[in-house]
Amino acid sequence: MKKLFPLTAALALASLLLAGCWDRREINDLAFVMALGIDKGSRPGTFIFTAQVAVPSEFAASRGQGGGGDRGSPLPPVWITSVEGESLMDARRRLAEWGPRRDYYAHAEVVVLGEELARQGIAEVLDFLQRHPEVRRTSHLFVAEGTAQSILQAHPRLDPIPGMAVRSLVRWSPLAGTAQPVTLQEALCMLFTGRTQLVLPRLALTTALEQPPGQAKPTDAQGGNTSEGGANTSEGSSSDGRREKGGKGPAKEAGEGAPPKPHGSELRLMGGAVFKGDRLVGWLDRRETRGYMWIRGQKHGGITIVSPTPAPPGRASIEIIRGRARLVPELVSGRLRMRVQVKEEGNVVESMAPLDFTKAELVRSLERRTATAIRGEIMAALQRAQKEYRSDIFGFGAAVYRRYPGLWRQIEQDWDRIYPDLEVVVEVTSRIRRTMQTYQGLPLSSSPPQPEQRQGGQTQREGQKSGSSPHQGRSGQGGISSPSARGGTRP
Amino acid sequence: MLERGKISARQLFFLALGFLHGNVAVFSRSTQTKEDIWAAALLAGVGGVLLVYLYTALAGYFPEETPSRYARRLLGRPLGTAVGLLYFWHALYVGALVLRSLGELMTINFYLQTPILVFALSTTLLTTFAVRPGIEVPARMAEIIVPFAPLLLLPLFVLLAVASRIVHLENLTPVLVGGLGPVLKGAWSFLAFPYGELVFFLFIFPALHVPAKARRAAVLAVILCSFYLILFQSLDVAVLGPEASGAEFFPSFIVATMIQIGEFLTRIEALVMVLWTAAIFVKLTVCQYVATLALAEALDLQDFHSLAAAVGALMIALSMLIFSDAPSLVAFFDRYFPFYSLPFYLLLPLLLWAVAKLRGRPGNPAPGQTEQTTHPGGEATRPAPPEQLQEGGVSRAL
Repeated sequence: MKKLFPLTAALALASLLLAGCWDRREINDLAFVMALGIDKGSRPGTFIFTAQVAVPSEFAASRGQGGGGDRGSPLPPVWITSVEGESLMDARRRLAEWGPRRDYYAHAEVVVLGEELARQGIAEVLDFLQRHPEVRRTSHLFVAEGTAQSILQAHPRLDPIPGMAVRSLVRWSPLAGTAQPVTLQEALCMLFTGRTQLVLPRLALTTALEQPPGQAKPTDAQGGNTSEGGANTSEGSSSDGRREKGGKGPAKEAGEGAPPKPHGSELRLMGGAVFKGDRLVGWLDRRETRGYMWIRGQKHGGITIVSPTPAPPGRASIEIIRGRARLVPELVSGRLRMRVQVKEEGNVVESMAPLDFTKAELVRSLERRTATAIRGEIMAALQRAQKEYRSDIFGFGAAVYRRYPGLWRQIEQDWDRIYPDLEVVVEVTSRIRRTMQTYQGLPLSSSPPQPEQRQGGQTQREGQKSGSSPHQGRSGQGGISSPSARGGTRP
Repeated sequence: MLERGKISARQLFFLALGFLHGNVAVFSRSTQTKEDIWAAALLAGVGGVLLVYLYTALAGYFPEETPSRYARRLLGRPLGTAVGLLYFWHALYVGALVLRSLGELMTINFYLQTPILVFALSTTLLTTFAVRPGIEVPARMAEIIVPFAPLLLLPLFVLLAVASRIVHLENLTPVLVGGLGPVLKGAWSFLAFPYGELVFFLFIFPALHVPAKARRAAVLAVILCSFYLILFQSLDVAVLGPEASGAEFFPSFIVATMIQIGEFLTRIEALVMVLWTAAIFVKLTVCQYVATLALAEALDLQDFHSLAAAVGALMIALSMLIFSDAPSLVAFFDRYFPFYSLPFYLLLPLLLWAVAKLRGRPGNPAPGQTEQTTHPGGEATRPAPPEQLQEGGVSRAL
């Protein structure tokens, strides 16, 4: 008994001390912030902090009752609140002036940065996010088209909490292969190191419906269909690109083409936002984003459309299943040159021509054309980022640093000047692995309708635009040498 | 020798392992060394093995005594007592540093509003319970909890980190980019902390059943810890980036928070923290025990048990007083600790060893043993206690 007492006392004391009286958080006291939006404030130096808070009761109602709830249209299961502050932390703390619960960020997996703020610089925001243990380093960062506040106000139908909808977008984005998710930690790493510039995915409000009627314009529902020059549907991305080139101001229009409603309520990943240092300098459209992703060797998916044969018109969709890239800096007689070696593997997932894939030469030709198409994407990205934005988003500087650390130390200061004129050699090797469940295409009765021809003309212009890049002349190793008859878009 | 308890070599091994990886895994160390942190850790590991050779060679001269006692015999009574008191101070100070780091770890990452004293108090309460009865309790405790931490956590952690695709191995290149300078600096820092702190085991070696087995157990612990250190430090750099990982207080903790596999296996940092805290606890226990024992022996007390609580109280007070803020704690570990601890972990033991060697075998209570114990692999002539069979289990357990 005498011995038992101190033990019991110690246990009792320990349980008192270890329960965490100071930092106790009851779940019903917490406001679970599902997404965070940060915009530039009305005065210089201020921020607008937007928190999207899950409302548990509505959440349970909308989840539990499924579609056929008692109410006709239940309230959205999120509460959105915005507050302006002198600093981020100031704004965040002011939330407590009207938020009845303590804000809690461990579930905020999405951080949206307003466009204006991004142009001004995001270092302060990243510092804020890094400093607080509640914020996950695996949260994803996005740049809003327009304000972050407007993005957080979206109400997507399928997943009524926009924050979670965006998270799911990230999860399935490899299917389209047109946006590269970036986590907070990856962004921190790039900004700290400074040898690779940041590209964040861009989020826009849009409608779920892309309108096909009116003029006979093919839809771009796949998102980021890109193609070898020739008959294809790259209308979407090319118009996107044209718009975005001029769209350096606040880009207000949503969606692409001309959707009926300019401001939809659905969220969509729309290419990438190019940073230089911590400042937004411009956008990449989907095609350029894909080119960027090829060079970065990141996880791939998405569709590449090629026309397999020159003579009968027809197209095939290649789905990328694997992609790897190597950046090899080379010193050629004292001059630095970057060799980009991309290896791609894909499946034929669609054939719009009566093709017999057991013919080896057909497959080889498809592979060549796929390689050419990929090369075109890469060239587009290079043209945009290297020549126009002059931002080393591809990590060429990092590659030089790894291969020639001594040289890097000498040229590091001048890299901004060297990089735009760096010679880049692109080599693409493409392989087709399988053709899904059939190996022969269905015989088609007629040739494609007229508008296709008009299409071809349109992409031809684009092809020439990217063809004006000085590197285009060199053909890669994947046998990209012989342009097809229709591939006259290539120089 | 006030300590009457005896421990096995296997227990010593786990004690040393827990002690070594106690808080090395959590603190930021990559500020100067960046990409080549693994080389620094490797080099320090080699240095750690050499240190163990020095310590066991020294202990081999006096297999039944602690430095507090034999320093007197080697250097004379006043100087020897001073050496004993110095080691008391060093153990107390390192214990306070570790206690403070544990508190900072908790208050920075989890308990933002809780006073740091709460962690110091509750932890020291427990270590005092462990230290009071003597070395056998910490040894048994280490035998039970340490295997979980490095042996289980390590593969788990690395596997999970790799599987969650957060590891960018290219962050570890180019190799030796800054030349040898940063590597040596990093190794210098790692050598002092944690390997140099093995000097405390001079006070524990005499409690071994078979003192000759000390070397093998300690060397094994150092090797395993180096492995652990290399892997964790490289992982930090690979995941967080060379520059970004240097900016964190607790890079390994951040890595743990980032691990997620699919949608279901996430937020394992609590589990990781439990295991790290257990290891830190072992480290604290050793520090407090050594401080207690060194003080009792230097002051010629009859008994050290009653001192444990007092030493614990001192440790708490010191841990609160040494630094006012967390950044200065990191700065101290990074910049000054290697120099500060140099006399304790290298110069003093080297001096004692040199004097012992010059004097030959002074009035050694167990003559005939010194020669064999100074050679690795030399079997002790003392009759082997029954635990010897069990001790063979060290290699099997690994």
